[in-house]
Amino acid sequence: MKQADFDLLLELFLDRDLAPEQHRDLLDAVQSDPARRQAFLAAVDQSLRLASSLKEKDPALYQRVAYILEKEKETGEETVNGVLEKLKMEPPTAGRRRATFPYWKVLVPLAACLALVVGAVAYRSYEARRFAESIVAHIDQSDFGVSIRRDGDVIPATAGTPLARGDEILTAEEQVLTYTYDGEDTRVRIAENTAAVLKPSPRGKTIFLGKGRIEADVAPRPPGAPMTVETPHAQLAVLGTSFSVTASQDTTGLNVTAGTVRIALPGNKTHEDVKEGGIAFAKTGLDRVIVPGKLVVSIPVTGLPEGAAITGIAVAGKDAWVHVNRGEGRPTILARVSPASGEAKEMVEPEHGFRPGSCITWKDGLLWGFSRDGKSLKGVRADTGKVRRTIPLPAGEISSLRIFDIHGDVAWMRGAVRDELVKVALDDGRILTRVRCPFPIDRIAASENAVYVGESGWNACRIDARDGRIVYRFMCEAGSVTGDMALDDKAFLWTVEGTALNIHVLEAE
Amino acid sequence: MTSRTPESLTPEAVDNIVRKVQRGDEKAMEEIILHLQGELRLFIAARADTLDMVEDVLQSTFVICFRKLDTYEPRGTFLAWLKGIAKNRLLQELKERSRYVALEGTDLEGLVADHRLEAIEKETGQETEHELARLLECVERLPERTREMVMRRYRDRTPIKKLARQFKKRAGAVAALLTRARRSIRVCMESNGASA
Repeated sequence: MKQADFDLLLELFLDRDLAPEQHRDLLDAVQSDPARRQAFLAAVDQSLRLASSLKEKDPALYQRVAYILEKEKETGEETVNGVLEKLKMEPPTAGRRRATFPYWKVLVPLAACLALVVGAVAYRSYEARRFAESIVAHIDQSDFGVSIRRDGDVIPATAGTPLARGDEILTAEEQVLTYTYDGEDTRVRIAENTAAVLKPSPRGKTIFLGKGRIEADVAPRPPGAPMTVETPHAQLAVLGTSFSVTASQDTTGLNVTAGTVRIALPGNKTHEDVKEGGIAFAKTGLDRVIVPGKLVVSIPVTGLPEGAAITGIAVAGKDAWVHVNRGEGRPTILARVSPASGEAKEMVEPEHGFRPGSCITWKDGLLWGFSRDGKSLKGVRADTGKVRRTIPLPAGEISSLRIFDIHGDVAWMRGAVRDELVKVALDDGRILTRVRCPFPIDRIAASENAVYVGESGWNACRIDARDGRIVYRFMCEAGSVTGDMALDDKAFLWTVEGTALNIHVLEAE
Repeated sequence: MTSRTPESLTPEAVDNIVRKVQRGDEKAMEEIILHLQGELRLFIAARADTLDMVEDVLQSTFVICFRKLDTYEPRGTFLAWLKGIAKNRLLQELKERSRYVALEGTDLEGLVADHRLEAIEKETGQETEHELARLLECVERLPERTREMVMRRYRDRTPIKKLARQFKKRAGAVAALLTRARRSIRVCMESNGASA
């Protein structure tokens, strides 16, 4: 790699703007050349030092520190980075009292009355000023019926209504509200059936999303003062971008349409920086952020015959099985691969053979693949290769005699046209559902609730198995052009890279 | 003198301010943060793996510092005490980061995190006095156009592609210029007896 290219990749890395292939190139360069590795690490070090040295003094740092210390005293909790989510960030209400005016029914000295009136007016001004100081945004548009909850009161939301720190916005069915933060071009859309709170925050703007969905176009924010969104499952930090976030009972989903959003788990234990076009999820009980398609680990497979190519993969508990082409007209074989070592340990020829190039899957203790004539799916025992079950396929309705997956009592296959996904009943071969996908289908992996579909290259999407709705699209970081795909019981996607004899495990939801 | 140039406070002067904080003077707390954040930020930046970690650790260091301020005995070692807190925080953050990237296999971020963790555990990260002032001086010595590029890149965090458009050059050319600029700064720092 030329020095100029290396320099550029290094700068793109510092911007977190590397494409997957650029990331691989830079990683190869630093891993293979000690001098490049040294230069890379030195550049990161120098860049951090320079950025920190040239940064203007942050006058707000004291306010943030003071705020955290104050909250620690109030709650008795000692926290550091996790202080915001632990403290729940109730809006400051201490000290805000309703003004009362003593009612005097008898004559009093005029001076005393005047003093009281002046004092009352001054207090009202003070309260009004305090409220004014807490205003952070104004409503652009609101559907009828949307309400704002503030200090126990319910205020109707209309265009122009100010929004203050601590305000809770509640929308019901078919109700939407949009607002813009004062002094900047950050717009937020609160979708229907949503509960969101505008929280005060030491460093920037924070929205707590209890349930529902918000979309935002965030104006570029200074480093260290991100807009943050908190949900019951995650924290998202945004410096300037467009995104949407959805919170349900046990999942937070993030979709970034421009820029970068950092999503972190509560306690800041782990986080992901999700870039434009990316998706991520945080779920209750899971200690990692899921970025569908992200490479978790690559497993080089060894011990296969020379000239072999992997065309199918199935996951059975802790084992992976691969379908292997041996070329030269020889029958294909099934091989059990240890995920820990990548070693192919057992090999068996399926009785009557599987169709060369067939994907495979594991169901009911059998390995399944297309029959050689493509007219049926055959289930064979993994230890002997003997056929135990055969399921005829609907003639003329299936355009690929290679691509499929089975889950439960149904098989998912490519239909009569390349971008059509069909659901086939296993008992009688009837077609139950047809779904048009956004791209030609080259691999399928199915579970009870979801079907993952990929095309040649790295495009993929998740489809709702119940209604065939496309839920979202994502990119796979690895896998071959037409390799098979399988889901394991922990919702990881296993893909294969045919002649390179690699298994790649990817994140899935 | 720019707002970035650190006004030098003697260790005794710092201790005087710390005593005020210990007696409950909140204004003095603000003074401590204002005066010391620059030097502390650079200390952390020499050991952290991202700018976000720098700011997070900086903030949490001051929080811990003021939470535990009663345990500090004024002996002219306040900045060193503060750096000790920062170092512990960095260790925690880097270990957490290392654990996380280990789950996903080796990658560039993991490489940086592991390297920083190893360096901080071995204390190979160099620290010299008044490094901030020296570094700023070396930046001031750069040719004007190069200095402007460096300021936009590092002070303003302008992405490389945008910087290239601003300077009407290819991104690769700008990247090469920045590499040379960093080299010049490092040589300047080394000749002044500091790390770069």
